[in-house]
Amino acid sequence: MVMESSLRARVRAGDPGAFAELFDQHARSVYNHAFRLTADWATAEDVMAATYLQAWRSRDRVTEDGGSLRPWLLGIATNEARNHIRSNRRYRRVAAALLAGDRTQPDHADEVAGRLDDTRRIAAAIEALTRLRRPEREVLTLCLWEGLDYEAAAQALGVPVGTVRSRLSRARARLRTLVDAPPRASRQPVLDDPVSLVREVSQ
Amino acid sequence: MSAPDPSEWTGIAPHPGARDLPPGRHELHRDRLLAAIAQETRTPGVARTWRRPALAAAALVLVAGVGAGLAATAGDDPPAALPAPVASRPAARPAPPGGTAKIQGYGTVRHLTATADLVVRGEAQSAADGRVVYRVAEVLYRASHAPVSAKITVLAPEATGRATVLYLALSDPLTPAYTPLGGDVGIFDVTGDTVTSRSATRSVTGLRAEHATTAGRAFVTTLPELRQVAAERG
Repeated sequence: MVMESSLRARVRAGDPGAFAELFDQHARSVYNHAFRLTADWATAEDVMAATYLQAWRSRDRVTEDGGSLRPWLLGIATNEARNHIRSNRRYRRVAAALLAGDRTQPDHADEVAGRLDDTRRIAAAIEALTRLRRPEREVLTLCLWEGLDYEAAAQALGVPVGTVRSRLSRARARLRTLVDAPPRASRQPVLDDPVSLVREVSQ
Repeated sequence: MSAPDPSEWTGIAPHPGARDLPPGRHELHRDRLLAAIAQETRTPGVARTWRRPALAAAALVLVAGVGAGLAATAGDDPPAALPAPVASRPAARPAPPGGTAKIQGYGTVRHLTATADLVVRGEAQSAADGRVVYRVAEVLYRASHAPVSAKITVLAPEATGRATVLYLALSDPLTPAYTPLGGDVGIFDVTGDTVTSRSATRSVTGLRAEHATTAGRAFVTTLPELRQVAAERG
């Protein structure tokens, strides 16, 4: 905590070294969070870069007391991602393009087996996210996959804790409905079938 | 409980895992960030204020109000992620008589597009007294209230015979006449399919997101990219 306080003070003071440290610590997390909210790795890279620049410009908002600055960065990244993907329709379009691209990856070499597992896991997650509204998607990624508690997520998003809880609850209910729906006879475990894909990856 | 119970999510939201940035990109982005910080530290008055649309517009209101006794309206709100403004830009230009104040800071082509009443490609045919007759070859974007014909009047000192893309505000609905957004920020020179911002020091830094590394340099993109961003506004 002392180290975090020191880092916060240096960030607030505009110490470039503190931002380099912040970048080394959390860039990967911001990058992956941005990907889940944009469904595009290149856009995620842009969002990550914009997030840190915005963090620099917003450094006077950092208080000297508090824990990790990761929730603050993830909150900025969430805003930046919104600037890129303004509508659910666009998110679904980008996600569809991502999943279509993944389908063309080679599947014959043993060495790519791990990558394909990774790809299928990501595909299942993105497919699930396309079923949610943006606010639900944001709290799910923050709380479930980035591991923020309700308070940190609320702070990151600038909403009350109760809102985080209710959005998460709605997200769970929506996904549960999808998974609990009886499978159709013709359903195949392919990337464009989110329900079977989620089932398959979860097993 | 202050965090979700993972067991409640089993089977419905599998963790997607996490990837590293592509090789070399972590270092690249960190270097870019530090370069941007160094640049903003050297020139805080410029770098920290010109991207703040609301403040630039507020400065405009002040200048217009004192100098000409004209009422001017503030511009768009800044994007949600922008921090609260702390200073104003002193050199905001007064609005043309009868026009709407639209001199702002613009970080991206998307922002220019979102603010413009008209985005056109063409070239100046003749110029006199700061008024240019501009021949329109292509309309990339037009707001419903913005009239456009084969030739429009642009209030800017523009050389003739030079292919450009202009991001314009309707400054005089009666004439009608247009003014480039942000002065030369809204002017791009066109060579083939390559588009280059007229000003290096007052230029956007990206299409949809600001890029620290291009700050202070002319921004280069392509016509298809500008068309795409314009189409996204619809």
